[in-house]
Amino acid sequence: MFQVHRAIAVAVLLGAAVAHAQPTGEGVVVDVSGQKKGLYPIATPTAPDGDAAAEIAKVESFDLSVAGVFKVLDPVSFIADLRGEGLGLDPPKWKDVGAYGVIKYKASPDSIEFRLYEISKGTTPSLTKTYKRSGTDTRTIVHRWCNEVVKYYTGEAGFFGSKIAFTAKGKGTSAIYAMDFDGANAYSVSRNSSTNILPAWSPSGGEIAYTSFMRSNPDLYVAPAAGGRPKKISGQRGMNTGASWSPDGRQIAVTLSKDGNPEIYVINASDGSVVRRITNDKAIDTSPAWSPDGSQIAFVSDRNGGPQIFVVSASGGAARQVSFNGSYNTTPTWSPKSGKHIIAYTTREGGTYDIVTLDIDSKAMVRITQNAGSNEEPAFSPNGRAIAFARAGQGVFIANADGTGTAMKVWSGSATGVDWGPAPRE
Amino acid sequence: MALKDSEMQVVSVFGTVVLAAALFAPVLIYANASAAKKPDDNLVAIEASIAYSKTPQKQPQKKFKAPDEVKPEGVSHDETKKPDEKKPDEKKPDKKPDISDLSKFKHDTDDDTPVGKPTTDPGKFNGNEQGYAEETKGDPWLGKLRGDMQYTPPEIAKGNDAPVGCIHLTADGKIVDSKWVKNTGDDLQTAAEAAIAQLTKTRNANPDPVPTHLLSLTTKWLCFKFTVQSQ
Repeated sequence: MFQVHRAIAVAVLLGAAVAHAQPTGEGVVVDVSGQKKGLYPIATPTAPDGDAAAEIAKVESFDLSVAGVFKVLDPVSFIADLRGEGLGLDPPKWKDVGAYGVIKYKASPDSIEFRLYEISKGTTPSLTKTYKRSGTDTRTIVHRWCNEVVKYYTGEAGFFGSKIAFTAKGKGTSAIYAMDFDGANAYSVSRNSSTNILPAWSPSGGEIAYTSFMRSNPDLYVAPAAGGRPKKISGQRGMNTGASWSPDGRQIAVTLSKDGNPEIYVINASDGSVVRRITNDKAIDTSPAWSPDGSQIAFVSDRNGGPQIFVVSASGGAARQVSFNGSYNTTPTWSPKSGKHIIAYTTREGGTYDIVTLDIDSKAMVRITQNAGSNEEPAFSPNGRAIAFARAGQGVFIANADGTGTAMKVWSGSATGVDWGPAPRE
Repeated sequence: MALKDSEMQVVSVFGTVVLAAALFAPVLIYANASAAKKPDDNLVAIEASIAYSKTPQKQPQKKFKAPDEVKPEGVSHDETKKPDEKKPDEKKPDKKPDISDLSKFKHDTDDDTPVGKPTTDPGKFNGNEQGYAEETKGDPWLGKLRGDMQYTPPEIAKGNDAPVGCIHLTADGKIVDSKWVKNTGDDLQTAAEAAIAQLTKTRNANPDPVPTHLLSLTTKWLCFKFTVQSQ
């Protein structure tokens, strides 16, 4: 009789098993594969008290928001008790608002202590730094700290504390200006009432080359970056414009029209003597940009119709067209990213101008601006994470070089001819 | 040739026994065979049932032994004995049963199976078990479940290991619990936790019932291994 019972039980359970699997053992059901992309959510709460607390938070928040890799969270969403936390952290409170990282600081008249927390690591800070305040302004200290944060996450040097040069247009004149990358501490480099255009930082950051009409002819000058008496480098008849320094700082690629037609030349940075002629074409060749590895020069030519971007060996030779979108592409500049061959340039679509990037190897293009005014003359940040450009009638802006985020205005006014200086020396 | 009553009774009893043997013998043999194949006493996986169906099955080939002659027992041979008097039919109650309290009708079982809990409880969540990949590959419902997580660690997120997290689904598609089997303690863990939180929020706001063929997932932890695609 027992076997009959057992048989019935087997039959019943086999039927049930068809409807409800009940496996045993270990194993993982589903592989969820995601791609790393997008910005890193980071919180930069203002310290509840302390010296210059608001200024520190403001500078820190701005720096990280234009770093190209962070999404700075809106303080309105914060639910943590900042006073109770002090320099510490209550991780769940920050996880709930979507933060991956949190920066705390405490400022005294003598020093500022910063702490970077990663939510996943709990209450132990991942990075801690204390800076003495004597002789160093608060902004500079915060820039240095933010460079440390960028380096911690990316392994790259940050660009906070670097400078941007640009042409500020006035009534009938234009001047070369330089400022901190965030728009602070702007000052005039050129000190004349003439027209001054197209500034270019030397690789060391100590000098700025620019073209000035102060002697009527558009000659090339080099001036101390901090301002001061400029030195005429190239005064050839006709155009001496569009300077671009070689990576070693010893030569400058420039457009000269001494023979009647604008061509690309390489001259000595010390005395302006011509080293070699790069292009020789009946079309207009202009706007040279030296590649970061020194091997190539990009420039603009209308030899195939409208203005397009071409690349040629820095020693000369045949040039090849690299831009093919639309019929009007100008003002190329190279990304400093090592191992990459990426350029940014101005492209015209309809009646407006926008900034795009082009990976010359993969042909991949990224649009940096769209439907936001007329944008021209891009320049990469020293680490290639951001791009500065001029928006007609509005000023100088910074945007992420990967096309994410929103451009941030750093200088208001009528500007053009933007160039980003080298990374700051710590 | 006519048979006597006693002979007819013998023949009918013999026939009944043979018929009963023919009906029950295969079930008994099948029960013995399945018991011999089982790895342990815990019953039973859907994979096991599939395996049975895929295996060509033979009917039991055991030779039947002819049953011994059955001596009739309990049958009267006294032709003079009077049959028992029939009891008068009991009147059925006129009143309809009171069904207001259904608990009165509750009973343990309708058959004579052993009393007690079965070794498995197919519809109940078992927190000690995790799911199998074989059950879920390519399933569209699970694909959508995976898609609702939106696991996208930031570009600069730190970490190389793969967190493993599990959820407890109910049949109506809600997520009532979660746990971490492997906490990597890095940004990828934060991203994975955010993904599970997002999934829970989405699914509990708009539950998508678990399809019938995946109901087994509601009986155990459904786990996810969060990996990062190479760029």
